[in-house]
Amino acid sequence: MSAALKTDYLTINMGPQHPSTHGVIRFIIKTDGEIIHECDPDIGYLHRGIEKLAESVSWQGFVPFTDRVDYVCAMNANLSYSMAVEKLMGLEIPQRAEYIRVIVSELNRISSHAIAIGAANMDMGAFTPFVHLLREREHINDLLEMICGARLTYNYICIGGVNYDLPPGFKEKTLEFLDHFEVVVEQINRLISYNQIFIKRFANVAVVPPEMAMQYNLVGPNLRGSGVKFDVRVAEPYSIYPELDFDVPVGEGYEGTLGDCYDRYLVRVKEIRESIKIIRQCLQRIPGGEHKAVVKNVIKPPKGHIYFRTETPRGDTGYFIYSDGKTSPNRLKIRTGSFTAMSIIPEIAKGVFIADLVAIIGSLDVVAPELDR
Amino acid sequence: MGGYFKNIKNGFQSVFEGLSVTMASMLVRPVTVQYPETDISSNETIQRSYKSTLMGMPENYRGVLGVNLETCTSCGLCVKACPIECIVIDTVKCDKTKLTDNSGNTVLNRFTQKEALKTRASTRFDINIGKCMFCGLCVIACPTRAIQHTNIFEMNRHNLDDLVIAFVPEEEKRAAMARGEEIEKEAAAKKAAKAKAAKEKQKEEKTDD
Ligand code: SF4
Ligand code: SF4
Repeated sequence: MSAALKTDYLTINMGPQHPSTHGVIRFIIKTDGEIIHECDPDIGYLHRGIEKLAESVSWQGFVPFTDRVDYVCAMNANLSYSMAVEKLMGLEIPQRAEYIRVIVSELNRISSHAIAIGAANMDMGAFTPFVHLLREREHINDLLEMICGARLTYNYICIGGVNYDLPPGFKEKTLEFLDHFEVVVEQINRLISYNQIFIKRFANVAVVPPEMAMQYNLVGPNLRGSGVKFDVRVAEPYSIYPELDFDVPVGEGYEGTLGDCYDRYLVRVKEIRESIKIIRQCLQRIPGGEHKAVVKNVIKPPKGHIYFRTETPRGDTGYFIYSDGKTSPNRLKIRTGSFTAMSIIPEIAKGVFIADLVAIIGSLDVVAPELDR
Repeated sequence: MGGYFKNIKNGFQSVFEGLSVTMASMLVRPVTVQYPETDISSNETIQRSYKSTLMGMPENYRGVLGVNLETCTSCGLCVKACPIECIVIDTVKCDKTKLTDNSGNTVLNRFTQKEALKTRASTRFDINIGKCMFCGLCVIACPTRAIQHTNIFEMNRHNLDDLVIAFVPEEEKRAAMARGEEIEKEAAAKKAAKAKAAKEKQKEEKTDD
């Protein structure tokens, strides 16, 4: 009798345009109405061929394109690419530029995490924290606009240093903002992070054990959320990070199992505090001098290849560059954190409620343009 | 059962905790600026209508590009620096002049610190702001700071063609073309005269032998 009542799975589409997919991603979900049995992410809607474009623009001319790889943290993408080329050329850059680079990329990390946290809240139906965090991010945008004149696609960090020096009054304004923001982080925690309803939605959902996280090559806050203490800034130090004092927060199963959505979420909140610490140290120690090394208008790095990675808000972003000694890269490949985060979704989305899929995407902080490039 | 009620109690508590934050934010100064009504071009203009914490547009805002043809040497460095080829310039020869800016000071080349010389004039200087991504690479490359960002950010036009800003007006273009042709002719004449002189010299030398 029960065999005769067997029903088929229902296949539904989530996306490509869905408010919780943070861009254009499509999920093909096989469900019995409530529980997901199979979830197949379909990516490529935002593919712009940035890697191919690199082959036809000059070395410096590619920097504005790296902004568009991940527009939520453009500074970090600039930094990754610029440092890769500098390593390839063996270029020394001034100390002041190093400090400015760290300051702006940590500011950008804060704004990116603010968006990640806010968006995760919004996906869970809490709209207020998102608006609060957008308001705070506006201040960071103002600060970065003050330095370089653009709000989102900065093109600020360039090969050989940074494009413009810090404007007068930047230090005071940044310190003022950090003082203000530390209070706001606490407020946001009271508003949502410690909210019992929110915790019940996030805790114990989509658990990623440390071994599985490493198998799927999760990076950044997603990996640290599973309790693996790995941060490129510490493991493969670059720039001035070895001189700075900061912790690497990891998930500890704060409200349930290690590696659940709530751990990944809270790691981001804690990272904001670490970033604030880093910026304070940098502002204190920043030396004077030049902000840019002398670089020719047309550069031709020597033949060879390089892979260089830095820690971005969404994990580590690596640039593989193959140079044949010409005025533009011969081949350029970008590795991003969102891509591996996406690949784990079919595995952890099995057997969860459809509503929890939104929580998974929110907690993994997948950004579509970075996924497709 | 006890856990169940405790859950509800905790839930209520944290909701009220959150609500207190929300209530507190009612006392915060508004940050949203009603854009078209409020002039957002600087902090002062915003403060006039709002007690807002936002800074407004900074002076170095990277908006639509503007070119000062007085100080432009038509060197084409900006064209080379642009990764997406949205600047197009055509040039002709012109009289050699030392560059002065609007207030009469001589213009220095930013990179060599020497006086900038103008030997060519643009007959066409078009920037396609539909393509431009306001990256500022051209501004960094320009030796005389002739090309600069303005703080215009409203870029909607009724026609697609209006997106191409032409900086050289039609009369100027014609004048420059005419002068360019004259210079070319003069140069050609000079060259011919020189060649003739050289030939005659050769002849003389031959007859001398
Ligand atoms: S780089 Fe400057 S001087 Fe040279 S053509 Fe462009 S605007 Fe004119
Ligand atoms: S701002 Fe960038 S895209 Fe626009 S014209 Fe200058 S170099 Fe080209």
